[in-house]
Amino acid sequence: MRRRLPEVVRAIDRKIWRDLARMKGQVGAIAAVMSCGLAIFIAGMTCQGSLNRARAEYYAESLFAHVFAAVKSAPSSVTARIREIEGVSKVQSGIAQPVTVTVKDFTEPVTGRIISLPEAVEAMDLNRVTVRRGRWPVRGRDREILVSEPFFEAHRLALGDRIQVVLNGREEELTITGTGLSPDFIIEMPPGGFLPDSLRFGVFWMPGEDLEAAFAMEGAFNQVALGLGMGANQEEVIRQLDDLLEPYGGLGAFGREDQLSDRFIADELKQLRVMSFFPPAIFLSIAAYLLNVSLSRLMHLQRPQIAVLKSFGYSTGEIGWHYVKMASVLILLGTAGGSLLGAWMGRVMTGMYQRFYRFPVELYHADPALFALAAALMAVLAIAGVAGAVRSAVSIPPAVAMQPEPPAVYRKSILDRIPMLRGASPSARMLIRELERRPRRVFLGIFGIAFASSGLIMGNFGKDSIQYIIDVQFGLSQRFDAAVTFHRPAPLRVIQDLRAIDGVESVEPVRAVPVKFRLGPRSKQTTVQGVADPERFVRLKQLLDVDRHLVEPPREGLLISVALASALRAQAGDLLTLEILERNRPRREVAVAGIVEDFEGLSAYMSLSALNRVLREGPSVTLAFLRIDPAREKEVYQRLRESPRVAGVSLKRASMRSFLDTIGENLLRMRLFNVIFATTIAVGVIYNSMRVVLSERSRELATMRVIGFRHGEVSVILQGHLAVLVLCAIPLGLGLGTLFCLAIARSLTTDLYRVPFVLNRETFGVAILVVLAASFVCALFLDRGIRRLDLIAVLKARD
Amino acid sequence: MAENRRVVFAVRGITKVYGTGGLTVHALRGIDLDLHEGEFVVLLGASGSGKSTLLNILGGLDSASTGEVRFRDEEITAWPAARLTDFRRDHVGFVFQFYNLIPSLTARENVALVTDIARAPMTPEEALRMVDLQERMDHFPSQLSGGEQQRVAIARAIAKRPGVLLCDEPTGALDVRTGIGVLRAIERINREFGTTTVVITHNAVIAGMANRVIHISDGLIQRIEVNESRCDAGSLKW
Ligand SMILES: Nc1ncnc2c1ncn2[C@@H]1O[C@H](COP(=O)(O)OP(=O)(O)O)[C@@H](O)[C@H]1O
Ligand SMILES: [Mg+2]
Repeated sequence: MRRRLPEVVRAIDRKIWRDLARMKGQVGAIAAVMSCGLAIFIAGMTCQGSLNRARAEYYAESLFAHVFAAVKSAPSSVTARIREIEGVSKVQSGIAQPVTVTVKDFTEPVTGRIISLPEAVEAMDLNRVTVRRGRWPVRGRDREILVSEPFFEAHRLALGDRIQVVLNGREEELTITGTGLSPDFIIEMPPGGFLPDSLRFGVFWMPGEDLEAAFAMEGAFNQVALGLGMGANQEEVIRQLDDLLEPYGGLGAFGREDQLSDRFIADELKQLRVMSFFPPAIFLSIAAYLLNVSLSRLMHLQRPQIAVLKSFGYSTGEIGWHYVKMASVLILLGTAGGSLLGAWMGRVMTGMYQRFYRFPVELYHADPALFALAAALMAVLAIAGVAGAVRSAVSIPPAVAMQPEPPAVYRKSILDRIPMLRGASPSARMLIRELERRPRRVFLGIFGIAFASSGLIMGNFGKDSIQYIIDVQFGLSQRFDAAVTFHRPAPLRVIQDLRAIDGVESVEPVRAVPVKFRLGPRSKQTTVQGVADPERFVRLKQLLDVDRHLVEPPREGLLISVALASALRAQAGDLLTLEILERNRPRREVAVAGIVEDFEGLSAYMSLSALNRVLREGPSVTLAFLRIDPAREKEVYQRLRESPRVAGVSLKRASMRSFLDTIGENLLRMRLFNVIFATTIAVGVIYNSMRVVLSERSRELATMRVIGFRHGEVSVILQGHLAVLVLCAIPLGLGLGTLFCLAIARSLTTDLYRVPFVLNRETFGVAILVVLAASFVCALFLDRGIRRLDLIAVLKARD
Repeated sequence: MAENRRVVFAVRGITKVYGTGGLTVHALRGIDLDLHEGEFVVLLGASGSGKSTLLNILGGLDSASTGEVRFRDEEITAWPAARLTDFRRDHVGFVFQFYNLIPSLTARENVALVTDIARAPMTPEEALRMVDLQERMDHFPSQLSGGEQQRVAIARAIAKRPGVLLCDEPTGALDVRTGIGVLRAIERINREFGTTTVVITHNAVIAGMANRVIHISDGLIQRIEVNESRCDAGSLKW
């Protein structure tokens, strides 16, 4: 007996394959849902792991600083005093200046940041620049520079090419000797931009002496980075550094957490953590549920077989193990599919990140441990999905299992209680009583489909949100064609000069002042923009309140952006402390007069006259918005570039196009992923639920066919069941999707950018259509299943 | 005498082969048979002899491999599936060994399922009264005994006033006493409505109820017994 058992076991194993082959549609659907969940998990974790790893490696290798500060101009001797601050181990000072750039054949305005370099990389104690191509630039000879790699690639430049750069109002021709990357510009954000734009913004490095000479800053620096020793108190270092730099026009020191490039990476990692947890958790729960339902049904159908096996002497454990093995095949399929899909998605997504985040090391890193973790996760899932089903089916005593089952117990339903429904046809009664008999299953089915619909909503949320930003920012708010920035505060008469340029139709002056806002324990550094009196100047940048109505800054008080308001937890009426980061850093108190909707991050507005009163100075401008005759755009741009006061020009049209180019492709890809996943879930849940229902009711349906019901009359019972699930699921799904999008908008919103919570009607329409289409396809399969019912076989079987 | 009455089914040379290639089963090997209006016929034979196959072909559930079946002068063997469905709907009442009631419908509703689509049905209540179940009309199958469930199945089969009533081992899953109750119901229908009735059974005793007993063995009609005097179900001995 014992010796013969292995042979029998092999026979019983063959049963696994037969059973699975018979259920191949369901097996495929469950494996697909599993694969999707696992793929998102793997892709999210891969991106997270890759970014984390590359960042850690690169920061260590390039000696990324811990504390950063900008200053108007400080003598080099100050660095020695900075070095004496307790906890500071390294100091690297230098010059960084905004520049305008001309690249041959590229007619749009290009701006950049030029940064000083020592003689050799070894002389950099912090934030070391890595030369990717070519060589380190040499002082004096031929005005040599390094160009940031993304800029170099975007413009298809070659080593030895020359570019025109306006240094301190003088245009100079600089020669490219190489390309570089540095840890403080892993992501190169143009000032005030939403996204990197490598065509219109670049970072350049020039030998220190050359740059000092060009800006007449010999023996001085305007930015400094600090490396801290173990156990240093960063807050204390920042406080002391601020005190040291204050006399030289310090603009406030900050740590890595406020360093722009690092902030973006940190925010990205935060999002990835959310993404690699919640969606996979839901997907995998749905998969576990489908597995449970399908396996329970299979084991129910096989009750007599189980009983026979038991009577042969198989133990409960052995039979249970048999079904666990069967489920393992499914889990293996799901794990294999999910791993492959996840590895591919991880690669595609890290590729997308690589366009924004530039590391000199390979970003993509597939961690084998991750796949092991995924497999373990799936094993847990299998056990969760299978255990209950196996336990209940295996524990029935053989004598009971071999007997025909008594008819399922049904009760009178609401039909019989609601007088209006008394006249319902028997088919309708069958449908409703069935739904009422298994409320848990019906609810889970509805939830599964609802989740799929919500996925479709989330898939289009990004598009809606960005459409809204474009409408508000580029459409309603920005009525100008170009923005011009000046090197330093200029007298108001420069506006007359600008207006005098042929082709300039109107000009609006703005005075931007760097400030640090404080409210209670919170503080944020940004700028206040003083906007001119609307009676004297045409408003070219409109301020909008949260209902998108135009607002004007009041005579007194501040308008602050939603982002700044939430960062400071400020409301209208609150009194903010302003530390003005200019001259002798006066402190003032100003009340918040209102909140405005803009997508420029932390921003604040005042009327120019109110700002001048706060600053206790006369009118001046640092920024101007221009409306330009489109036919003369090029000439106007040329004239602006020649003006020594102008630090940079940006064209709205160009920045809008780059915004769309950059984000469009990624958005499309993410939408595609989302739609595929959501559709997989929809089909998976609908198909599986309905297969099980079909299997459970095949006897009834066959009976109806035998007693003369036509195919359609029978089919409608299951289609009705499907319709009830789908019709309940759609509104629930739209609601859930809306909530999820709200949560996403909340979690993605940072100081740097705000994700508005906006959903268009088409998004709901598309979600409904996709779910209906998926249901329709499933309905066709169902119909085919009913057509294939073997009437005679079903009636012979005992159920 | 039965032979003078109108022929309901005329079966000529039907065979039925299941499967293809080497694994074929000859379920029927050439059956010729006439069934008459109002006749009560019992099909008797060992398990696997082809009784169910013949019954299913008569009822339009299955098709013969060769040969023809005429129902009131129309050749049903040539009909497409949709026409066969209508044939079952309008003319055939089925009763099976496993009652095949819809568990989510009460006795009355199970019958209403048929009366809703039939041309000239009786009411569900009338049909259930015929099988003595007027007391239990609002019970679900799970609340009925096996015999009661089978009687609901009979009520459902006859509620449309079918031309033929085909019963495949209707007492196969029941004990003797209950089985007799079920047979009595079938016999009463046959008597009162003159419904042509074919009952399959393994049990030779039931044969006493029939006008004719057709013995089938190995896909062929072995012999046909004609009962000059039928005994009623209540007096059957097992
Ligand atoms: N669908 C089928 N496929 C193959 N063989 C079948 C099928 N249905 C019945 N048979 C075979 O045909 C023969 C007659 O079956 P059946 O008419 O059910 O016998 P009975 O009702 O007399 O017990 C049997 O040998 C049976 O195995
Ligand atoms: Mg049979």
